[in-house]
Amino acid sequence: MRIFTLLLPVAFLLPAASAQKINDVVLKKDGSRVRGLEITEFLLSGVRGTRGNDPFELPAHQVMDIEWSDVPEEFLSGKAAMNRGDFQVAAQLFGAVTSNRPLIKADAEFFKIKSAVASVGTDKGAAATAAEHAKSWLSANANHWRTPEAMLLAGRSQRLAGTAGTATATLKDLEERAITDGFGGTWSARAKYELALTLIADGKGMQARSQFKSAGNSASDALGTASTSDKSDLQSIVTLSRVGEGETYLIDKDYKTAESFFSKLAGSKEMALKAAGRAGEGQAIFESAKASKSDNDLRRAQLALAKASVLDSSNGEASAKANYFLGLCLIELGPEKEGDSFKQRAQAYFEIVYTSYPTTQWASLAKAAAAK
Amino acid sequence: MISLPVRLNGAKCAAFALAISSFSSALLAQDLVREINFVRALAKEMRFIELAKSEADRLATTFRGAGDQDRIAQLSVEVAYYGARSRSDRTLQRTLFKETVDKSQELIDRSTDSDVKLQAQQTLANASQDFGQFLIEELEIARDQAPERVADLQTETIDVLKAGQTACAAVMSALSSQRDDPQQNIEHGLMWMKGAVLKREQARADKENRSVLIDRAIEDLEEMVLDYGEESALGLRGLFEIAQCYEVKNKMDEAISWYTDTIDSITLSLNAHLDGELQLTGDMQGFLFGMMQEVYVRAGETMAREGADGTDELFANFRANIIKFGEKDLSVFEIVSDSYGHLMLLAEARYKAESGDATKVQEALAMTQRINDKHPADYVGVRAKAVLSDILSVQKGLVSGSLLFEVGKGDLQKNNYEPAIKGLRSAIATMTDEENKTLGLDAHRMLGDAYRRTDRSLEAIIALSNGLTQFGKKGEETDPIVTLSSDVADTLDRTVSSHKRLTKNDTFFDSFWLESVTLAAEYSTGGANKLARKSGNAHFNDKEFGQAAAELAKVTPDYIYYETARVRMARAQMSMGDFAAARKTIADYRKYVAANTLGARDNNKLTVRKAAQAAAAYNDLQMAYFEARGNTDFKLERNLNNYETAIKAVETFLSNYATDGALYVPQVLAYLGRLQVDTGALAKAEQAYNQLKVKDQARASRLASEIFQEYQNLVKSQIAEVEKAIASGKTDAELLQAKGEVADARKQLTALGTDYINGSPKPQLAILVATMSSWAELKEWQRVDDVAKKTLAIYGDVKDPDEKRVVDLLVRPMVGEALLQQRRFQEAYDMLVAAETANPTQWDLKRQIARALGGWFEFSETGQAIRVPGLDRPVDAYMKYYGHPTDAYRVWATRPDVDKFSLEWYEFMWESYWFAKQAGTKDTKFKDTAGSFYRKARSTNDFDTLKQHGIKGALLHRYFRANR
Repeated sequence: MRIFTLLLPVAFLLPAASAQKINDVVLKKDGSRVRGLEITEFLLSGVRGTRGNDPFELPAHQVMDIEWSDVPEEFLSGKAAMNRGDFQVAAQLFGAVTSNRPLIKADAEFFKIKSAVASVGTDKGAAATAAEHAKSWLSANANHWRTPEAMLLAGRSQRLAGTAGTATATLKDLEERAITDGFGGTWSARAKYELALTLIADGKGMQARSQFKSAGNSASDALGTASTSDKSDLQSIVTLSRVGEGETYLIDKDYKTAESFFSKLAGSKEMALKAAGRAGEGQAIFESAKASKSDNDLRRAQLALAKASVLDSSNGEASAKANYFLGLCLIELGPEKEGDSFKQRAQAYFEIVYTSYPTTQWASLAKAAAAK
Repeated sequence: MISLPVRLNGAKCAAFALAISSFSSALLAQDLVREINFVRALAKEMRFIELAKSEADRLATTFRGAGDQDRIAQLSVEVAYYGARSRSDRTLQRTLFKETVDKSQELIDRSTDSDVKLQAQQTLANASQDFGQFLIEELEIARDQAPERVADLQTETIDVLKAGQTACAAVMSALSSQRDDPQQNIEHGLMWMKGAVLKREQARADKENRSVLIDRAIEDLEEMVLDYGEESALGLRGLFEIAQCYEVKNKMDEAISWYTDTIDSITLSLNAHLDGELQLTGDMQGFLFGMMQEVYVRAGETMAREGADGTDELFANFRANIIKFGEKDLSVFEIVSDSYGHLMLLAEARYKAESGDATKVQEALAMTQRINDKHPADYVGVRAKAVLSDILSVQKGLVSGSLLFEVGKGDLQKNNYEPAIKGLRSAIATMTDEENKTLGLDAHRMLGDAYRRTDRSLEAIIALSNGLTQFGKKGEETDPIVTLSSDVADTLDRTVSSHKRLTKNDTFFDSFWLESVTLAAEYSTGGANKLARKSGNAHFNDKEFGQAAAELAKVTPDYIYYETARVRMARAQMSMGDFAAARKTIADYRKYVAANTLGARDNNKLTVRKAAQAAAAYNDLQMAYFEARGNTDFKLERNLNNYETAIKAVETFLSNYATDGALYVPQVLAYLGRLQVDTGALAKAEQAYNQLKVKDQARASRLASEIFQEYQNLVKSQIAEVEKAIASGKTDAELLQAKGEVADARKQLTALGTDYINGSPKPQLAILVATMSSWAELKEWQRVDDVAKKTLAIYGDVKDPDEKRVVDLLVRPMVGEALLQQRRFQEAYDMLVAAETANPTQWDLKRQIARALGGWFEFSETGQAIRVPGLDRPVDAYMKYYGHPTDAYRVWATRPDVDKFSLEWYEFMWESYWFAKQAGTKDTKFKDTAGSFYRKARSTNDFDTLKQHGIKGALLHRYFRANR
């Protein structure tokens, strides 16, 4: 055993101030990870860098995400805050990131925008600021791997800021670049879906409905040739588009048609659509019952929502929506129908939404309902 | 080559133990030495921590010499240290480590015995390393789960590691002259290495100073290895520690190369031993085998993280070496150590999961799940959960329905209901037809169960009905799916009843319920055993315990729930007050268990047995508890002689059934806390409270208020002691220790009170006020302010006259007092004036305003006289306190029920004198007024009456004397 005597001189010979080794990781769409990389380019065309002394390259369509080496504390904390749905804090943390590596800086800036958009709520000023930041990020990163998502975020924040026209232009640009620059079918479908939301925001319910249909069709078409992980994204757009379609009736306060639409959706063979259908049905009945003060309808809503909760194998929007409205049903039914524990049980439903489904759109609503 | 008698951890202790023996022989009576060694062995070797603690307590009462007391105190610290090491519950572990570090430090500061000091420094060094490591793990967890805690944790970690380094240096210096003795030489080397390791860990936590610290750590370790020789066990360990330094330094290639070389060296020795070329003792083999796993973990994690070449080979070699050098005829999972071995298997699982290969992902998930199940609450478990969540989020498409089912089942067993619901819903959607045949119904049963246990009976009914409709089976009861269908049907039936209760039998659901109950009836089989069990349970729930016991007695051993029925029968007997019959039933049941061993394939029966055994143990302890504390229903009086048995029953339960009987643990901890409160073991009661609060906040709050009351009693009795001593004329120096004890008790009380207040949704007013007053006595004014404000936020608008009186007379003035004591005079003055306007008859506010204007007199910690000037408006202060005919505090202070020469009278005299004296510095006419107050107070016996007024009287006595 003479390792020490052998290694000690070698250790002394090592340059004292050599740069720290970079160990970036690429998470691939097939679920595997490639480690030990030093990434130098993160572009629409793909990832480039070195692995040891060898050059490394991976086409964009195989990349799921990147884990940067040795990121600052704020970056890690920001990611953790995003995962638990604490978007305001996340935006602050990403804003505080400093790094010598421009790629990390660009990513931190991107996540700051993403978190800021997620935390906008009804604050149009905040949305406008986020839109400005997104535009500025895009002008500095026109061909970044995250450019399509940044365009989507820009469009979303413009919609939330009340500038539907600008949002439409941005999203149409995304839709077009999805084809011309080869972003892929997923981005085309996402752009269409976001455009439908923009139409709703602009008070164009009918047009929105056909836009949701178009988004759903576009996603369905792309499913045929998509990779496994893209398939899951596209399937989710299909579901969201159908839900969006039904929600246009809710916006028009046409609860009957909404209920019938969602009820039909619940008859679908797809588990995700079944659950989304039941959740939508429950929401439609609830809204109508709330307006008509009908306890029996609130009970009907409970049944539909409970079914949605049991069926939702995707563990996402439908569960969150179902639990949120189940909580509201208890509040509406009150102690006479649900006993003295009604409030406590309603709070428990809201808590489930914001702790177990923190990144869904229902989390902030549930938090607000719980605080009442 | 230096040969170590036991593996390194043991070696530290062995050297330590021998060192203590040798030091002790000359100094201590043989009896105490023998007793201390015995108790230490109980804790260290056998891990009988509770027993060791009680033995140490016994020694403290038997050996009362001053020197003996310090040695026994050191023994208690050691026992706490071994206790912390042996725990797997991280919350408790943190408390115990902190206690060890604090108490060691206290002993080092207090003791004049150089041997005890040295031993305490050694314990502090060891505990600092473990506690530091624990905190580094906490930091890692917090970075992911609670980033807001990172900064505080970092500071705490660095402080602990620094204290450890100081202790190591002190021990090394004390041992440097004794290195001729081989054992002392080993201890010297261990401390040398430990100091360097603590420095390295400090570098890990302290990014700013990392570079300097890590270079120093490497330097120290290199010197140590050169001094002791790299062939020695210490040298070998030193090399491994150096390798880790390179990792902290982010020189990964060097770190990997040092790690793999260290592994080669270890395996070379173990191979040489197998080939008969080298003689190694069993202990030495154990040490090398253990260290090999530890080095493999670091190598495996680092190589996988860096994507290094040869990672596949490293994991394969690990398995091969474990089989080659480990116990024969066992699987790798069984051979490896629970700590580093499982961490290595976890590193391998993560590595496999990252391959993207479906088979490897399945293997990875299965192994991670297994490790997770084995480590419910420790660090390995935390890591396993992170890997699980990572695999499930990224590789969901590659995971089979049956594995998702296992994950959901695990979450349900650990009462993580929403994750269980998510997992089971995914499993149900993913399962193939083949998987559904065996698991489909069970998955729905568990999904229903998760909903049911979270008060969501409507969802539960739907889940259970879906399961029965799709996978229910009728036929012979020998078919497990038929039995399961019947169980699910019964659960469905019960859930419908529960939903009816929740919705107050709303007729809207009539058809839905009818449909569900009809479905349940279709699958519910009605065998005699089942009927007897159902009927027994129904009688039990209706508190008809005699009939319940009679029905449950009919259940025969061939029925799957036979064992739970027996234990329930015992419970029914106990509930009737027939403890003897209950004990006999449980004893018979245990004989049955001993005579009927279950095989690994009797999975369902094994689950039932585990639950029944936990319930039986809970029955035992409940009876013991009632026999100790008394119970009016059973006509049992409190009996102090039975406390020891009850406490032992609780400890046995917690040691043996904390997992299988998790359901009972909160109640058991509450029992333990109450038993400890009754026996005056408040620190132990607090330990129970600390464990309980993470499990059941409501129960914990109730227990906290009981412990709190005991602390209040303790403080009261200690104050009474001090007052007695003052009245008997003891000097300040003589009173010092007694006053210190009062302060210590107050600190305990405020710590518990603060914890209770922070954890309770609506803390009790009495506890808020008592905590606030104790902080005031400790002069922690910011905390006084915090508690007072919190109290006002909760009870500020209270209507109950008694509560209102407490809030107005005690809490509101305290907000002003806290501001004054923090020298925020203007802020206090403004607040007090506003409060006075709103409450013009609250006299204490006027006194406070006077103090804000004219300040007060006090003594510093060192006894120095201090004049606090307030806003330096002494004339205004005097007028507000005494001078104004209708609006001064005097109006209240001179009311008829204040007797002359009472404490309140003296206080008033003193403050009037003080304000007049200060006013005299601005206007001479007040000087004479001041003089008259002084004379009045001094009259008849030159302030001697004050000595009869306890601590406050004594302080006023000093005030007058210092301001003649």
